[in-house]
Amino acid sequence: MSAVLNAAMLGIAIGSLYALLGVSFSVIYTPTKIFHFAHGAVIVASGYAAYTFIEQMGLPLPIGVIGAVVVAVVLGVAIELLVYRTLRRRSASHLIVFIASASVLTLVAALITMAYGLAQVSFAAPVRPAFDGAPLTNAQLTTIVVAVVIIVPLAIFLKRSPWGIRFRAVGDAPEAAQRRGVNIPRVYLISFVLGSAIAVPAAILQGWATGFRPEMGFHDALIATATTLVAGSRGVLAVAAAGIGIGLVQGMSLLVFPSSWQDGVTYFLLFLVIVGPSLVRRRGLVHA
Amino acid sequence: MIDYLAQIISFASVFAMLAASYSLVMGTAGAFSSMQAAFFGIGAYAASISAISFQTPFPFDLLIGGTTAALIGTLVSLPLWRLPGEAVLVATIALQLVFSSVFVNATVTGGRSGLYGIPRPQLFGMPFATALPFSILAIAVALVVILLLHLYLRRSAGLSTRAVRDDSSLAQSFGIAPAAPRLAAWTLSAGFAGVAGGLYARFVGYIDPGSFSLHQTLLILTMLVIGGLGNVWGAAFGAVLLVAVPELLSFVPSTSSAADQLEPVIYSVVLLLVVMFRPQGIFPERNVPSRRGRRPAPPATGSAPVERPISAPSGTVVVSGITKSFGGLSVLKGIDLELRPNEVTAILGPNGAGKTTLFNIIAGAERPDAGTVEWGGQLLTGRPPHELARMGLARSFQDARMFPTFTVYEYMVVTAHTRRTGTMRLLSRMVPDGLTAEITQALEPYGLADQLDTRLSDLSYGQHKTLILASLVYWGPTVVLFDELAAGLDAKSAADVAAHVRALRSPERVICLVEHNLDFVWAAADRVVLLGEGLIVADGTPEQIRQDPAAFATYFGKAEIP
Repeated sequence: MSAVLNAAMLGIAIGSLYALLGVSFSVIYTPTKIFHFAHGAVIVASGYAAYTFIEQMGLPLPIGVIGAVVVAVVLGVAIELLVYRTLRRRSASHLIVFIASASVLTLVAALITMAYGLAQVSFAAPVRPAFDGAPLTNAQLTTIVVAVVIIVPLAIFLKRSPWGIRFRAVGDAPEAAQRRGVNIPRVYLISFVLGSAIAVPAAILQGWATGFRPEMGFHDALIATATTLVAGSRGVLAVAAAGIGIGLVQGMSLLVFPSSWQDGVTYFLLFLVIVGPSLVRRRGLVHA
Repeated sequence: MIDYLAQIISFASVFAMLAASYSLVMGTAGAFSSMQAAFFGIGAYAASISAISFQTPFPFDLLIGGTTAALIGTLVSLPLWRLPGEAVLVATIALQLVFSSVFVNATVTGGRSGLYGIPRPQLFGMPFATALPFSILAIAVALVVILLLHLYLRRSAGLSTRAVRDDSSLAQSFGIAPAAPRLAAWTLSAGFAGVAGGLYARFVGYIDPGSFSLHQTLLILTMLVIGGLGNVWGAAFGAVLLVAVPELLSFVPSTSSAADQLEPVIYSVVLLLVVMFRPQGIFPERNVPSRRGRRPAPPATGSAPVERPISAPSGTVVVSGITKSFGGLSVLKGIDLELRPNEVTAILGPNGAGKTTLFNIIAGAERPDAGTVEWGGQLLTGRPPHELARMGLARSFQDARMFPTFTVYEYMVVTAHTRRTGTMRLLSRMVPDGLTAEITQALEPYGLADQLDTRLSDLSYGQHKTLILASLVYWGPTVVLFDELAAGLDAKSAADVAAHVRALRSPERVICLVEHNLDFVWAAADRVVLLGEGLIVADGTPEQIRQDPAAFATYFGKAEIP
């Protein structure tokens, strides 16, 4: 019983991280509909920035986090302005936009490898059980708390505030939004600022729990895009739920599969989650 | 030195096959697959296991590798081909990582250390053990693979795959079932990547999971994009370029460890610059030139070349008891309607009256909640649009939808296939003899005959509509549904289009328009059906409708009727 409970708690912790990753991506995806795979680059770069500020330069944690947010926002906005705007002007296809985005991710990962090496780096802050006999580490518990503290207010903000409405309007009906006087490039820009900033806690918490590796950007981008796709246009809470669901199943899978297969099982789960709707729909057609 | 060069050639051959096969699924079929390296690996492991454990002789191990990969490619594509591009992308990245994990963890693949001792091949007793003979063999295999891809795309498959990529519902309206070209593209692409895997294993003698990672997929993607997404030879060229240039550069001695990471930096910067400033690559996708069909038709041998679709019904289209609601909104509340031959029926009604929904139901694009559509005794409801097209039902789409990468000629070639056999079979001849003359003749009255090689995206809006009409006249379907054909046309062009529609009228043909443009309706229609709030409000000749103030006032206000 306690093994199952532990696995579930672990799953919720992993899922909270996935929820943060997914929500930060969906904030950008909702208005822009850009398949911003380079979001992984923003995540990994801000993680390494936080590591540099806090561990290598010895800055206090709050300053380090603010520095990482600045790096994330600058990188996210730069990608929008330099890459996506150019492609939009040339009315590039989705495929081309994705390839550009993926190559930005590859580029940033390679640059980080050049600067920091392939080996894992991590924070000095120890990872230990949150309290005596706790099923979670302090890092995991913090992740769950941070996820709730960020996602719940964000969901309310996006649902109620004029900015949230603008985000959805621009995504669903850009022309109608423009006629109503919404400044679309500015909405895009703000979504990049917001989404990139939200990615920072996810990056730092992930680094604390498991360390940083240059290629983690691919993994994170995949998780972020998958949760957003699964949630469809049902809002950030649905994205968060998808993230927690995937994390839970991943945590539970440890009970069944050896840990070396964990990655494989997680990715297969992602595959199923994405193709699932199409399989269900097809069965629906047969019965109809 | 020669050996070194031979090694580069072998590498380049393997990657040329990978990039060329990738171009079929990614470029021509437009499916965002990102697991080419996984298929490469599946082929490599299957071929190696058969070569090591069962001593499979040389070309057969490649066939085993290719078949295994093709099989898995087919399976993988089954749940994918209906999904939007981005979902396919994420799903295939995930699968790529699943296969990477399998390669690392499974015992049959030798785990992290991989498989060793794959012997260099022998063929007809001739050993290809050393670098130079092997490189010749590698070139030969690569040429065969690329040539097969080339020949495949020169068949009808080349056009039907692109048609489905450009606009799958439009392709369906020409009788093309989207599943066939997509499935074939995935299968062939995966299969040839598997063959490349088998060759690669024979070449290096050992394989490990590192060669079949997501990064390898990105490298192949880079080759493909630089060479040209929709062009197999371009993709192969891109591969050769990306294998050769770094090797030549590596003669420059490098000492720093950072230099190892320079390669991905350069690749990604090059890739980024290419997609941003020359997304079509060095060799863009090519259109089928109209000179290909210039060969004259063979002298007629008595039998007509046009084989009519097997189950072509004729007569009246009977719509009975159609209802449809979206969510809580009831759009159609029981429509009974007969569309008769030799009569142009126009469906009129205000926005939201359910015209387009009714139209989509007749055309098979949507299913009614209740009710049926029958045509000459055959039930149409429930059949997919491509099947209706094969039976001889044609529809036009709002806003003159087109295949954006097609030329006028290619559009007419697709129409010609629909006209002859009701669809476009993958392996049929793309351009039968004499077709160009036939197409030119069909376009002559519409002033489009000298525009054969013009891209549809370069035509004017009016020319689009003219082309749609011309192709329908050429096809000769028995039911024609026009969705807002006159929208956006000036009075003069609308009058021309109305005359063309009148000319289509025949005792064998049912014609139905959904329209907003009243002048156009008065000029083109024999009969007007007035739809309002999901019901038929009036049904009569244009004169009757114009003089029926009660029916009219309800829906068009009390203003003076033009």
